[in-house]
Amino acid sequence: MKHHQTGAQSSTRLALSHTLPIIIGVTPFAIAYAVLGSAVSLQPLEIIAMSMIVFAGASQMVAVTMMQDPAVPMLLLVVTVALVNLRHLLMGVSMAPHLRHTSRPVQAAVAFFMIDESYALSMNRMQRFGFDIRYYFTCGAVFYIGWNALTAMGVFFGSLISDPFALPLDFVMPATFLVLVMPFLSQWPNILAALTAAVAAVLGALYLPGYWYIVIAAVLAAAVGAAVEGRLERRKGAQQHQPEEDRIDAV
Amino acid sequence: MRFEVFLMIVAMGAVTYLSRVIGFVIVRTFGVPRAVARWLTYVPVGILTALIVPTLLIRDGRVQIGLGNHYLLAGLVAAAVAYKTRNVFLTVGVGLGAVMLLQATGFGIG
Repeated sequence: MKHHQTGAQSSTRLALSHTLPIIIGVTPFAIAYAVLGSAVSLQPLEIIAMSMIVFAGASQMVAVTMMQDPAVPMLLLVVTVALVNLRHLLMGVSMAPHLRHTSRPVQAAVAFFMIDESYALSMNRMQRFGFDIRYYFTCGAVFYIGWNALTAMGVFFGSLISDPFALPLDFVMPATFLVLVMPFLSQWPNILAALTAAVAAVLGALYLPGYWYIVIAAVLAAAVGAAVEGRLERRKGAQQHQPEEDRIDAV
Repeated sequence: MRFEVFLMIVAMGAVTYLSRVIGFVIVRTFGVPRAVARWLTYVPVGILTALIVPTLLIRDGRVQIGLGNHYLLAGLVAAAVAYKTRNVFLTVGVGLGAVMLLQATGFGIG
Protein backbone atom coordinates (compact mmCIF):
# COMPACT_ATOMS: atom_id res chain seq x y z
CA MET A 1 0.00 0.00 0.00
CA LYS A 2 1.16 3.56 0.50
CA HIS A 3 3.58 2.59 3.24
CA HIS A 4 7.30 2.46 2.58
CA GLN A 5 9.73 0.43 4.68
CA THR A 6 9.32 2.19 8.02
CA GLY A 7 5.56 2.24 7.56
CA ALA A 8 5.54 -1.50 6.91
CA GLN A 9 7.63 -2.13 10.01
CA SER A 10 5.38 -0.03 12.16
CA SER A 11 2.29 -1.77 10.73
CA THR A 12 3.70 -5.09 11.88
CA ARG A 13 4.84 -3.79 15.25
CA LEU A 14 1.52 -2.05 15.88
CA ALA A 15 -0.40 -5.19 14.96
CA LEU A 16 1.66 -7.21 17.43
CA SER A 17 1.15 -4.74 20.25
CA HIS A 18 -2.59 -4.54 19.56
CA THR A 19 -3.07 -8.29 19.24
CA LEU A 20 -1.11 -9.68 22.16
CA PRO A 21 -3.31 -8.26 24.95
CA ILE A 22 -6.36 -9.68 23.19
CA ILE A 23 -4.78 -13.14 23.17
CA ILE A 24 -4.97 -13.07 26.97
CA GLY A 25 -8.71 -12.66 26.65
CA VAL A 26 -8.94 -15.59 24.23
CA THR A 27 -7.19 -17.95 26.66
CA PRO A 28 -10.18 -19.05 28.77
CA PHE A 29 -12.25 -19.74 25.64
CA ALA A 30 -9.53 -21.91 24.08
CA ILE A 31 -9.12 -23.85 27.32
CA ALA A 32 -12.86 -24.23 27.83
CA TYR A 33 -13.19 -25.51 24.24
CA ALA A 34 -10.35 -28.03 24.69
CA VAL A 35 -11.71 -29.26 28.02
CA LEU A 36 -15.23 -29.65 26.57
CA GLY A 37 -13.76 -31.44 23.57
CA SER A 38 -11.97 -33.93 25.80
CA ALA A 39 -15.17 -34.39 27.80
CA VAL A 40 -17.07 -35.49 24.67
CA SER A 41 -14.11 -37.87 24.09
CA LEU A 42 -12.56 -36.17 21.10
CA GLN A 43 -8.94 -37.21 20.70
CA PRO A 44 -6.24 -34.56 21.29
CA LEU A 45 -5.37 -34.49 17.59
CA GLU A 46 -9.03 -34.03 16.64
CA ILE A 47 -9.42 -31.13 19.06
CA ILE A 48 -6.34 -29.40 17.66
CA ALA A 49 -7.29 -30.18 14.03
CA MET A 50 -10.65 -28.50 14.57
CA SER A 51 -8.91 -25.32 15.79
CA MET A 52 -6.54 -25.39 12.81
CA ILE A 53 -9.19 -26.06 10.15
CA VAL A 54 -12.25 -24.21 11.50
CA PHE A 55 -10.48 -21.37 13.39
CA ALA A 56 -13.70 -20.02 14.92
CA GLY A 57 -14.17 -20.05 18.67
CA ALA A 58 -17.96 -19.74 18.70
CA SER A 59 -18.45 -22.46 16.07
CA GLN A 60 -16.12 -24.87 17.83
CA MET A 61 -17.77 -24.26 21.18
CA VAL A 62 -21.20 -24.89 19.64
CA ALA A 63 -19.92 -28.11 18.03
CA VAL A 64 -18.48 -29.64 21.19
CA THR A 65 -21.56 -28.57 23.15
CA MET A 66 -23.86 -30.28 20.65
CA MET A 67 -21.69 -33.41 20.69
CA GLN A 68 -22.59 -33.88 24.34
CA ASP A 69 -25.80 -35.37 22.96
CA PRO A 70 -24.77 -38.35 20.82
CA ALA A 71 -28.21 -38.37 19.15
CA VAL A 72 -27.49 -35.10 17.32
CA PRO A 73 -26.93 -35.88 13.63
CA MET A 74 -23.85 -34.48 11.93
CA LEU A 75 -25.91 -32.53 9.40
CA LEU A 76 -27.71 -30.62 12.16
CA LEU A 77 -24.38 -29.82 13.77
CA VAL A 78 -22.90 -28.49 10.54
CA VAL A 79 -26.03 -26.44 9.77
CA THR A 80 -25.93 -24.95 13.27
CA VAL A 81 -22.28 -24.03 12.79
CA ALA A 82 -23.19 -22.36 9.49
CA LEU A 83 -25.84 -20.28 11.28
CA VAL A 84 -23.40 -19.28 14.03
CA ASN A 85 -21.18 -18.00 11.21
CA LEU A 86 -23.78 -15.77 9.54
CA ARG A 87 -22.25 -12.61 10.96
CA HIS A 88 -19.09 -13.33 8.90
CA LEU A 89 -21.12 -12.66 5.78
CA LEU A 90 -21.88 -9.13 6.95
CA MET A 91 -18.29 -8.63 8.02
CA GLY A 92 -17.00 -9.80 4.64
CA VAL A 93 -19.39 -7.63 2.65
CA SER A 94 -18.47 -4.57 4.70
CA MET A 95 -14.73 -5.22 4.42
CA ALA A 96 -14.58 -6.24 0.75
CA PRO A 97 -15.17 -2.79 -0.84
CA HIS A 98 -11.98 -1.59 0.85
CA LEU A 99 -10.00 -4.42 -0.77
CA ARG A 100 -11.32 -3.73 -4.26
CA HIS A 101 -7.85 -3.48 -5.74
CA THR A 102 -6.38 -6.64 -4.26
CA SER A 103 -6.19 -9.92 -6.16
CA ARG A 104 -8.52 -12.86 -5.78
CA PRO A 105 -5.96 -15.07 -3.91
CA VAL A 106 -5.21 -12.26 -1.44
CA GLN A 107 -8.93 -11.80 -0.77
CA ALA A 108 -9.27 -15.55 -0.32
CA ALA A 109 -6.52 -15.43 2.32
CA VAL A 110 -8.04 -12.35 3.96
CA ALA A 111 -11.29 -14.29 4.31
CA PHE A 112 -9.61 -17.19 6.11
CA PHE A 113 -8.21 -14.92 8.84
CA MET A 114 -11.39 -12.88 9.30
CA ILE A 115 -12.45 -13.34 12.90
CA ASP A 116 -14.23 -10.85 15.16
CA GLU A 117 -10.92 -9.61 16.55
CA SER A 118 -8.97 -9.14 13.31
CA TYR A 119 -12.04 -7.54 11.71
CA ALA A 120 -12.49 -5.13 14.60
CA LEU A 121 -8.82 -4.15 14.75
CA SER A 122 -8.51 -3.59 11.00
CA MET A 123 -11.77 -1.69 10.56
CA ASN A 124 -10.69 0.52 13.46
CA ARG A 125 -7.31 1.21 11.86
CA MET A 126 -9.00 1.75 8.51
CA GLN A 127 -10.88 4.75 9.88
CA ARG A 128 -7.62 6.71 9.78
CA PHE A 129 -5.19 4.93 7.48
CA GLY A 130 -7.23 3.05 4.88
CA PHE A 131 -7.15 -0.72 4.81
CA ASP A 132 -3.70 -1.80 6.01
CA ILE A 133 -3.18 -5.29 4.66
CA ARG A 134 0.12 -5.93 6.41
CA TYR A 135 -1.45 -4.97 9.72
CA TYR A 136 -4.41 -7.24 8.97
CA PHE A 137 -2.34 -10.32 8.14
CA THR A 138 -0.07 -9.81 11.15
CA CYS A 139 -3.13 -9.74 13.40
CA GLY A 140 -4.55 -12.79 11.63
CA ALA A 141 -1.32 -14.77 11.95
CA VAL A 142 -0.93 -13.96 15.64
CA PHE A 143 -4.53 -14.99 16.36
CA TYR A 144 -4.15 -18.18 14.32
CA ILE A 145 -0.93 -19.24 16.04
CA GLY A 146 -2.26 -18.13 19.42
CA TRP A 147 -5.60 -19.93 19.08
CA ASN A 148 -3.92 -23.20 18.11
CA ALA A 149 -1.19 -22.96 20.73
CA LEU A 150 -3.78 -22.22 23.42
CA THR A 151 -5.93 -25.11 22.19
CA ALA A 152 -2.95 -27.44 22.54
CA MET A 153 -2.28 -26.07 26.02
CA GLY A 154 -5.90 -26.68 26.92
CA VAL A 155 -5.72 -30.25 25.60
CA PHE A 156 -2.68 -31.16 27.67
CA PHE A 157 -3.05 -29.01 30.78
CA GLY A 158 -6.78 -28.21 30.79
CA SER A 159 -7.52 -30.89 33.37
CA LEU A 160 -5.32 -29.03 35.87
CA ILE A 161 -7.53 -25.96 35.64
CA SER A 162 -10.77 -26.35 37.53
CA ASP A 163 -12.53 -23.32 36.04
CA PRO A 164 -11.04 -21.49 33.04
CA PHE A 165 -13.30 -18.53 33.82
CA ALA A 166 -12.21 -18.24 37.47
CA LEU A 167 -10.27 -15.12 36.49
CA PRO A 168 -12.56 -12.63 34.74
CA LEU A 169 -10.62 -12.92 31.48
CA ASP A 170 -13.83 -12.91 29.44
CA PHE A 171 -13.89 -9.21 30.31
CA VAL A 172 -10.84 -8.61 28.09
CA MET A 173 -12.77 -8.91 24.82
CA PRO A 174 -15.52 -6.33 25.49
CA ALA A 175 -12.91 -4.00 27.03
CA THR A 176 -10.81 -4.25 23.87
CA PHE A 177 -13.80 -3.64 21.63
CA LEU A 178 -14.62 -0.55 23.73
CA VAL A 179 -11.33 0.97 22.60
CA LEU A 180 -11.90 -0.08 19.00
CA VAL A 181 -15.43 1.37 18.80
CA MET A 182 -14.41 4.84 20.11
CA PRO A 183 -13.19 6.38 16.82
CA PHE A 184 -16.54 5.52 15.26
CA LEU A 185 -18.48 7.49 17.84
CA SER A 186 -17.61 10.98 16.61
CA GLN A 187 -20.47 11.49 14.14
CA TRP A 188 -24.22 11.33 14.71
CA PRO A 189 -25.04 8.53 12.24
CA ASN A 190 -22.51 6.25 13.94
CA ILE A 191 -23.63 7.21 17.43
CA LEU A 192 -27.28 6.49 16.62
CA ALA A 193 -26.27 3.27 14.86
CA ALA A 194 -24.38 2.19 18.00
CA LEU A 195 -27.36 2.98 20.25
CA THR A 196 -29.61 0.96 17.95
CA ALA A 197 -27.16 -1.94 17.98
CA ALA A 198 -26.93 -1.82 21.78
CA VAL A 199 -30.69 -2.13 22.26
CA ALA A 200 -31.13 -4.69 19.48
CA ALA A 201 -28.20 -6.81 20.69
CA VAL A 202 -29.45 -6.96 24.27
CA LEU A 203 -33.00 -7.84 23.22
CA GLY A 204 -31.70 -10.29 20.65
CA ALA A 205 -29.33 -11.96 23.10
CA LEU A 206 -32.24 -12.40 25.53
CA TYR A 207 -34.87 -13.67 23.11
CA LEU A 208 -33.18 -15.10 20.01
CA PRO A 209 -31.23 -18.34 19.80
CA GLY A 210 -27.48 -18.49 19.23
CA TYR A 211 -25.67 -15.60 17.66
CA TRP A 212 -28.56 -14.08 15.74
CA TYR A 213 -28.36 -11.04 17.98
CA ILE A 214 -25.12 -9.90 16.34
CA VAL A 215 -26.58 -10.17 12.84
CA ILE A 216 -29.84 -8.43 13.76
CA ALA A 217 -28.04 -5.67 15.67
CA ALA A 218 -25.65 -5.00 12.78
CA VAL A 219 -28.44 -4.94 10.17
CA LEU A 220 -30.63 -2.56 12.17
CA ALA A 221 -27.69 -0.37 13.17
CA ALA A 222 -26.62 -0.05 9.55
CA ALA A 223 -30.16 0.84 8.48
CA VAL A 224 -30.38 3.57 11.13
CA GLY A 225 -26.88 4.87 10.35
CA ALA A 226 -27.60 5.09 6.63
CA ALA A 227 -31.00 6.72 7.21
CA VAL A 228 -29.53 9.36 9.52
CA GLU A 229 -26.69 10.04 7.09
CA GLY A 230 -29.17 10.43 4.26
CA ARG A 231 -31.30 12.78 6.33
CA LEU A 232 -28.34 14.94 7.31
CA GLU A 233 -27.26 15.09 3.69
CA ARG A 234 -30.70 16.14 2.48
CA ARG A 235 -30.90 18.74 5.19
CA LYS A 236 -27.52 20.10 4.18
CA GLY A 237 -28.65 20.20 0.56
CA ALA A 238 -31.86 21.97 1.53
CA GLN A 239 -29.87 24.38 3.67
CA GLN A 240 -27.76 25.43 0.74
CA HIS A 241 -30.84 26.27 -1.28
CA GLN A 242 -32.94 27.93 1.40
CA PRO A 243 -30.61 28.98 4.19
CA GLU A 244 -33.32 30.58 6.37
CA GLU A 245 -35.52 27.60 6.87
CA ASP A 246 -33.36 24.94 8.40
CA ARG A 247 -31.27 26.87 10.87
CA ILE A 248 -33.18 26.03 14.00
CA ASP A 249 -32.08 22.45 14.54
CA ALA A 250 -29.16 21.96 12.18
CA VAL A 251 -26.88 19.35 13.73
CA MET B 1 -7.88 -39.33 14.15
CA ARG B 2 -11.18 -41.03 13.34
CA PHE B 3 -12.39 -40.67 9.77
CA GLU B 4 -15.97 -39.58 10.60
CA VAL B 5 -14.69 -36.95 13.03
CA PHE B 6 -12.27 -35.69 10.40
CA LEU B 7 -15.17 -35.45 7.94
CA MET B 8 -17.21 -33.46 10.43
CA ILE B 9 -14.30 -31.07 11.07
CA VAL B 10 -13.78 -30.54 7.34
CA ALA B 11 -17.51 -29.88 6.85
CA MET B 12 -17.44 -27.36 9.72
CA GLY B 13 -14.34 -25.77 8.23
CA ALA B 14 -16.01 -25.57 4.82
CA VAL B 15 -19.18 -23.82 6.02
CA THR B 16 -17.12 -21.48 8.20
CA TYR B 17 -14.76 -20.53 5.37
CA LEU B 18 -17.70 -20.14 3.02
CA SER B 19 -19.34 -17.68 5.43
CA ARG B 20 -16.09 -15.70 5.50
CA VAL B 21 -15.39 -15.62 1.78
CA ILE B 22 -18.89 -15.23 0.38
CA GLY B 23 -19.06 -11.50 1.17
CA PHE B 24 -15.90 -10.93 -0.87
CA VAL B 25 -17.28 -13.02 -3.75
CA ILE B 26 -20.56 -11.07 -3.76
CA VAL B 27 -18.81 -7.70 -3.82
CA ARG B 28 -16.37 -8.89 -6.51
CA THR B 29 -19.13 -10.25 -8.70
CA PHE B 30 -21.90 -7.70 -8.33
CA GLY B 31 -20.12 -4.59 -7.07
CA VAL B 32 -21.72 -2.40 -4.43
CA PRO B 33 -24.58 -0.02 -5.29
CA ARG B 34 -24.28 3.41 -3.66
CA ALA B 35 -27.15 2.89 -1.28
CA VAL B 36 -25.70 -0.41 -0.08
CA ALA B 37 -22.23 1.10 0.26
CA ARG B 38 -23.62 3.75 2.59
CA TRP B 39 -25.45 1.07 4.57
CA LEU B 40 -22.28 -1.01 4.85
CA THR B 41 -20.32 1.86 6.41
CA TYR B 42 -22.36 1.35 9.57
CA VAL B 43 -21.95 -2.42 9.86
CA PRO B 44 -18.64 -2.26 11.81
CA VAL B 45 -20.02 0.00 14.54
CA GLY B 46 -23.07 -2.28 14.80
CA ILE B 47 -21.04 -5.46 15.13
CA LEU B 48 -18.61 -3.92 17.62
CA THR B 49 -21.44 -2.64 19.78
CA ALA B 50 -23.17 -6.02 19.63
CA LEU B 51 -19.96 -7.67 20.82
CA ILE B 52 -19.67 -5.30 23.79
CA VAL B 53 -23.02 -4.44 25.29
CA PRO B 54 -24.68 -7.84 25.96
CA THR B 55 -21.51 -9.12 27.68
CA LEU B 56 -21.62 -6.21 30.07
CA LEU B 57 -25.37 -5.92 30.63
CA ILE B 58 -26.54 -9.54 30.63
CA ARG B 59 -25.33 -11.62 33.56
CA ASP B 60 -26.76 -15.04 34.35
CA GLY B 61 -29.25 -14.77 31.50
CA ARG B 62 -30.91 -11.49 32.45
CA VAL B 63 -30.28 -7.78 32.15
CA GLN B 64 -28.65 -6.49 35.31
CA ILE B 65 -28.34 -2.76 35.75
CA GLY B 66 -27.07 -2.05 39.23
CA LEU B 67 -24.15 -2.12 41.62
CA GLY B 68 -24.22 -5.92 41.74
CA ASN B 69 -23.13 -6.16 38.10
CA HIS B 70 -19.34 -5.92 38.31
CA TYR B 71 -18.88 -6.24 34.55
CA LEU B 72 -21.12 -3.24 33.96
CA LEU B 73 -19.36 -1.07 36.55
CA ALA B 74 -15.91 -2.08 35.32
CA GLY B 75 -17.15 -1.62 31.75
CA LEU B 76 -18.05 2.01 32.52
CA VAL B 77 -14.57 2.54 33.99
CA ALA B 78 -13.01 0.84 30.94
CA ALA B 79 -15.13 2.98 28.60
CA ALA B 80 -13.82 6.13 30.29
CA VAL B 81 -10.23 4.92 29.95
CA ALA B 82 -10.85 3.89 26.33
CA TYR B 83 -12.32 7.31 25.55
CA LYS B 84 -9.44 9.19 27.20
CA THR B 85 -6.48 7.10 26.06
CA ARG B 86 -7.55 4.93 23.06
CA ASN B 87 -5.08 2.43 24.49
CA VAL B 88 -5.95 -1.28 24.54
CA PHE B 89 -3.35 -2.28 27.14
CA LEU B 90 -4.39 0.43 29.59
CA THR B 91 -8.11 -0.11 29.06
CA VAL B 92 -7.90 -3.88 29.47
CA GLY B 93 -5.56 -3.53 32.47
CA VAL B 94 -7.67 -0.98 34.33
CA GLY B 95 -10.90 -2.79 33.41
CA LEU B 96 -9.66 -6.18 34.57
CA GLY B 97 -8.28 -4.59 37.73
CA ALA B 98 -11.67 -3.02 38.38
CA VAL B 99 -13.52 -6.34 37.95
CA MET B 100 -11.15 -8.17 40.27
CA LEU B 101 -11.27 -5.40 42.86
CA LEU B 102 -15.09 -5.41 42.79
CA GLN B 103 -15.17 -9.19 43.08
CA ALA B 104 -12.60 -9.28 45.87
CA THR B 105 -14.43 -6.69 47.95
CA GLY B 106 -17.84 -8.19 47.22
CA PHE B 107 -18.95 -4.69 46.30
CA GLY B 108 -22.64 -4.14 45.69
CA ILE B 109 -23.82 -7.60 46.70
CA GLY B 110 -26.53 -7.96 49.29
